[in-house]
Amino acid sequence: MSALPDLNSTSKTAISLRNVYKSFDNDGEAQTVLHDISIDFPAGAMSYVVGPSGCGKTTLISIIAGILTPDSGDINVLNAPIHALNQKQKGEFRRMNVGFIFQQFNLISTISIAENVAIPLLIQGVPHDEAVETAIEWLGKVGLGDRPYATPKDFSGGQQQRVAIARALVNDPKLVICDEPTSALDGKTGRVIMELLKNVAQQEGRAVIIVTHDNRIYQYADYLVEMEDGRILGTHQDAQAWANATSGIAPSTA
Amino acid sequence: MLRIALKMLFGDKMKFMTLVVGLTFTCFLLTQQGSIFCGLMLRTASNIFETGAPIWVIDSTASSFNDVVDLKLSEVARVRSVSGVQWAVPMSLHGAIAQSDEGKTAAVQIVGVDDESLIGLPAGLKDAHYEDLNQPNAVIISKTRSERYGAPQVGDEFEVNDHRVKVVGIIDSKKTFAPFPVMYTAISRVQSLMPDKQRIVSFILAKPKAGVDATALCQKINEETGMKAIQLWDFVFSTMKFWAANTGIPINFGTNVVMVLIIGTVISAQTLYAFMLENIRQFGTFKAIGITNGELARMVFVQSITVGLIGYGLGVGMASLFGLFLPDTAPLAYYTPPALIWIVLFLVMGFCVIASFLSLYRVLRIDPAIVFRG
Repeated sequence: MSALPDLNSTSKTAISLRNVYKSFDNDGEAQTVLHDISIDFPAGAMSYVVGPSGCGKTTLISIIAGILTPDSGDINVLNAPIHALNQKQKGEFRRMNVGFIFQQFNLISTISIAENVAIPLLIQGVPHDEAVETAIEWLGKVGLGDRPYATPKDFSGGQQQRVAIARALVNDPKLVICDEPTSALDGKTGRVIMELLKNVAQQEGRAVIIVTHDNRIYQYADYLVEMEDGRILGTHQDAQAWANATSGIAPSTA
Repeated sequence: MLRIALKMLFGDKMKFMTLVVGLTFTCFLLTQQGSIFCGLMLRTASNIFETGAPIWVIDSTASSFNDVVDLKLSEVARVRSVSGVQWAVPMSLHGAIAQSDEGKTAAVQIVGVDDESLIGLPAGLKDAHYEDLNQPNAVIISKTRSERYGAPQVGDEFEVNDHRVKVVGIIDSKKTFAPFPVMYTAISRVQSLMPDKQRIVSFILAKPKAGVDATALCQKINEETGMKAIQLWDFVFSTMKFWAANTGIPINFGTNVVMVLIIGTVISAQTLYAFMLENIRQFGTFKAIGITNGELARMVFVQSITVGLIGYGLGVGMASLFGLFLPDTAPLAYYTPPALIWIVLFLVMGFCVIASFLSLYRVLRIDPAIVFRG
């Protein structure tokens, strides 16, 4: 089943998928992981993608980011026809428009957190010193401005995720894609991070998409996409109500 | 991003040290084993170098310093008569038995040099004069291996083929590949030490007049005398070839060097490849963020070439120090030709680039979705 969001009049669509299919080769047999996905994600909102493990959430966000190529279907992200771009153009699109927050942080342990944050700018060709200067400003915004030249191993998991968030936001991306951003964090740190992302999401013309199992953070969602077995089960405007109503998922206490 | 690439390389000290140690060890072994091989091969021709004559004339059927067919003394005059020859002198090389008064006996090589010019005597005579060789029964001995027949000193006497000889000088010359002590005397005396020999001239040493092309002169000597005239380096190589073909030692050692090369290449390339693969998640993150393949390739190459150059510098430096502290008379043959330094650089950079290509093949094909996996 596919569903279209009930966007209110002030929202615009940031991401639009139509009839998207994706399969992977599994010992010579094609295993379809996304079935006829058609969905819109609103701009200026924080959208969640939820569902059990293996339901296709990560594949969906990988396709939205242009990291994976669908077998068929149209994908428009921030008015860019991702399905029609070649790999080089997709790389360029990500470089200029997309920020990533990974479950494992994916920080480089051997360089300073300032340089870690500066990487998207360095990839864009910003000179090193200028990039690091901007990165230090962003570290200040996430509360880590006092030790910019320390390496990630000197920080806790929550602090490392804040570094990763600064890295995702340092080049001012229009789309932020997060994979389980709070799964390794305690409740307090998780709330701080979600407030940060909420602020980004609410800016005009931007969107934040979060894949999560963490029911502590549903209260921050503006829009929720529920997936199962590679299909869209439904969409919800009130994520917290959905969470409360869904059996087996406890209401958030975050 | 190149600065980030270098920081990634240097940042993990344990991995970096493993890489550097592996490459250093490989470069050291390549240079050191190569130097020993070159030293060993050079020793086969050390007599030729020490003599220093630019042209060597030998029997047309002979091929090397250690494979001679003796010539008549009159052949020297025939060489001298070839126009373009500045001088030509005889030289002999024969085996004999030396025995000290204490009864220590050893097989020796006797080199006979021209009585008048003494051309062919090596440098390095200590506390004596070459002219002393004109004294009756005089010999100059090489210090190397002289202990086999009692290590005689200047003024001492001993027997060669049952004839009394007297040491008038000791030369601190280089070791030869042939495992015999060497002594030098006037060629006229060689005849008396070996009365049964009809022909005692083994080589005729010659030098072209100024402005005369040595290659053309050799050709002329060949045509006019029917003998074989060879320039110094050609004679060196044919002598090396003789030893290579007639003993297993250089071939076996050469095989050893090739094995070091293969093992070193595989280990270093594998270590470098493994290092790159360990960073594959980071490279995947860069790809997700949008780095170009060209920039990624530059990062990988900078890392490989940097670690390769560091390993090369340390390895070759250590091998050079090893050679520097090794005396000329040491039992271990050691010579590092400049070409070997370049060959090792070429090889090390070669397998660093190969390892880069192999890892790059993987890096460029990274599924960026790897970054979303736990």
